[in-house]
Amino acid sequence: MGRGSLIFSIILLLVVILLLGATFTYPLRSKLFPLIALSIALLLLVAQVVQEGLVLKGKDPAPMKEKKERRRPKFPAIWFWLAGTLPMLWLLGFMGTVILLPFLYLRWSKENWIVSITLPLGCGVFFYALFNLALGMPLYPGILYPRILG
Amino acid sequence: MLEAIWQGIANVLNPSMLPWIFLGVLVGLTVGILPGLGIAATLAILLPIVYGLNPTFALTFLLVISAAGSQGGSVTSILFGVPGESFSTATMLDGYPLAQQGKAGQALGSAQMASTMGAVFGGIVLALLIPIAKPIILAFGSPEMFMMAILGISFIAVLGKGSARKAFIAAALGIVLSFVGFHSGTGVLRYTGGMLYFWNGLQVVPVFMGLFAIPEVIDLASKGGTIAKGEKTNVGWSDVKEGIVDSFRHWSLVLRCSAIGTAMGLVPGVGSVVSQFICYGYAKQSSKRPQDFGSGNIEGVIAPESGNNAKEGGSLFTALAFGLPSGAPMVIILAALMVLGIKPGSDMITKHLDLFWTLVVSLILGNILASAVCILSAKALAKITFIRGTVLVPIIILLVILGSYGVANDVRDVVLAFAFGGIGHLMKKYDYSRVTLTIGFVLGDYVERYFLLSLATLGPGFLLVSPIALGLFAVTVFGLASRFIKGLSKKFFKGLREEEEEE
Repeated sequence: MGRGSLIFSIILLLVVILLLGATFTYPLRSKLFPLIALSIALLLLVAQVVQEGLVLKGKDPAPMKEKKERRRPKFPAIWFWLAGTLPMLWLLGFMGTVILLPFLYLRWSKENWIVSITLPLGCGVFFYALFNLALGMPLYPGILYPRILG
Repeated sequence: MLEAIWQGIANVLNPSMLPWIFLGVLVGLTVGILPGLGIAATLAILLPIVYGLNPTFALTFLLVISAAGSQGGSVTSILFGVPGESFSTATMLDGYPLAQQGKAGQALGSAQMASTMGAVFGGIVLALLIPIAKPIILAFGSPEMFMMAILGISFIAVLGKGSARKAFIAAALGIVLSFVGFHSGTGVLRYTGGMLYFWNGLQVVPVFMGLFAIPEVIDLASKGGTIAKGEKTNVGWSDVKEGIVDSFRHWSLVLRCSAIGTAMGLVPGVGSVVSQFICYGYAKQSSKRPQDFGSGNIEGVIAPESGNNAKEGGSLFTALAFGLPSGAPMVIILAALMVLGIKPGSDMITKHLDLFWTLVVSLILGNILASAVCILSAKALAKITFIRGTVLVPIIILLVILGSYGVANDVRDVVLAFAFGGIGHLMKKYDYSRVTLTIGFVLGDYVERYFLLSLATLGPGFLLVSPIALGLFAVTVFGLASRFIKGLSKKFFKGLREEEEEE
């Protein structure tokens, strides 16, 4: 149990308090079950936060520092890549993302150029053929594509 | 009756029918394997095609797609940790860890064999049930459904790994998540934050995809290597065979979960996701090695798969004999029946008994064929887990995007999946059980709905008027109490042993 776990538990506790506040505004039949579930969550989270706080207080800070230093270097880049998916989807739409997302990852992972180009293109062709042509599923076009085409 | 059975078998084995069955198997498997191609959506797309067909061919084709889709869903769940269909999520909980240990072949073999055994069981029960099904179905009202959901929720006590407190917190939050959206009881909007998107509640598929698949992708990308991390570097037929044998070795579990699945299938409105998790929870509770669940116990693959496919038999009976669908695919099949001019209901088991039997036999045959295709390709499929992560990571993320988007062609579902991906990653990192959150999310709404319905129709003493509900209540209390006593006695004997050792 470290600081991260404590922070996560505190965030959950705050979310539960927020939800409880909202629940009180509902009519009885609508708030009965949410109140039961949220009250249980609140009690357990308070106990969890107290326990984690106490454990952290009694812990030697040195090993925690050591742990922080051992953090994987790839981690922030992966988060950035995943978080970047959503703006990419919004801007380039479905097909643009299906091609660009794997390409960026493969290049970042230093895959060779042949795989980096053929795999995203293959995915693009496969998904377009299956979803758009075969099943007639409307694929989100993004905001750039329709603007460019007018 | 016997004559109708023979007629049903003859119809299915008719040379002009077989191509439709094979085509149905291929379409169903593709739909099941690829996230985003929902079975119900595919059936709806194919509905206009069946207009001009012979009713027997058309219905068999649709039913086989539905059956094969159930089989295919487990493949992506096991190989990538991405549920091919929402009802394959429980299979993923132990199937994916097995794949990570290099045992994908065993998990696939086991899942397919258990599915087939479940489907055959469901079909046989379906046949035996015809004379007595009506009173059984009518016996299940809202108090019984309420207690069934409570029984499912009680499995939270055994499903969480690690901290029990964190498991319960996750379950409670899962229950609250199930309340998001329009409350049909009062017409109130709950926890929508004023956003229209949340009015219909949270979609199961994006939530599950996010919670389970994205954290695994993050792990795979950051740790590098392949999905299979075990000592094994290849998959042979012996692995697949071992999985098949495992299903026979655990025949009693297959039978019990098939019985649960069939019973749940008979009850209209109980989704496959619910029945899968109840089977999974039951398997863990009754297992000799419950501590291994979630980290690659083959029983965790066998139980949900057999239950899920056995459920199809029960659902088919209720849909055909009473016109009550258990889920979206059955709604489409009922629609196809009506389009073809056949009225579901008692006529199906009186006037159209041969068609009824044709469908039962094709359901069983469809499952067997789909299973055979999966088993034959299991060795090749399992090798995917030995492909390096750098190539697999973008493909899995694309499957997540497609799977989430395909539910309602809404790009906001992808955002939801990614949001739950972040939550799932933190939950995994800080040991909050994602499984119990899922159970709460699936069953929370059921519990509330049936509780309020029972209260409104039967008053506060609704449990007392139903012997079945009382029986289910007793089973729940007994299950929880036995777990509690087991835990206490374990602690007591451990303490005694330690004292003896000290002396």
